[in-house]
Amino acid sequence: MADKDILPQPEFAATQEIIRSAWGFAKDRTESDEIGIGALLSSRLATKEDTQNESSDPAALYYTPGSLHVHHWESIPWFLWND
Amino acid sequence: MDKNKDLAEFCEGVDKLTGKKKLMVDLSTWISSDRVDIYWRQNTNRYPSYTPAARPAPDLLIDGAKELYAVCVVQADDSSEQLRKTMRKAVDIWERMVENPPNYDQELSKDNPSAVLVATGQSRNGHLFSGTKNREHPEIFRR
Repeated sequence: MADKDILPQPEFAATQEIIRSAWGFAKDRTESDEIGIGALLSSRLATKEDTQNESSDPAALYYTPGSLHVHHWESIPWFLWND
Repeated sequence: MDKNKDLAEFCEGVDKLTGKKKLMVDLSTWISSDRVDIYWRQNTNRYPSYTPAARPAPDLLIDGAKELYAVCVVQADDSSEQLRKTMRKAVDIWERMVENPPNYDQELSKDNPSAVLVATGQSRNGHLFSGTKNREHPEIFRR
């Protein structure tokens, strides 16, 4: 389910569950190819290694039902991971 | 909207803040940079504010150079129910935005948000729930 650059490498179990629940509710209500729904998380999830002792950058994990690529995992600002 | 906030005004009383307002300051300090602007729903002397298009409205807007995010903040240290309520609120806001785009009158990098996000004090650590409650342990995916 987790694909590189689409979903984070690790996810915390309860957080994953509530985010996927929100995605399910959203998908049942309507579709959008422009606006997604998700959570503010951090770059701590960008690698498999435990980076809890390092500073973390903000990141967005969200789902856009109706979009060609429905999952989004992006740094804030967007270009931090594009080097 | 006034982006020229005096540093003294910003710092005054920050150490006395508690609850959701303190969390919003902490998140705003973490997120904001020279390429990321933060707008608060509430008109305060700490951050510039935005004019909500409808109610309920997100607590923050994050304008990140190319992407715009609407954020619902919740202090969920003691109760997972608060987080679940806020997630439902975020879905309601999302549905309304999809059907009736907000079209904020501020000069933002996008007309409409890229996403509606939920944030907590644990967002910085990569999750939403607090501590070891709610089976909050990391799962590594194998590829």
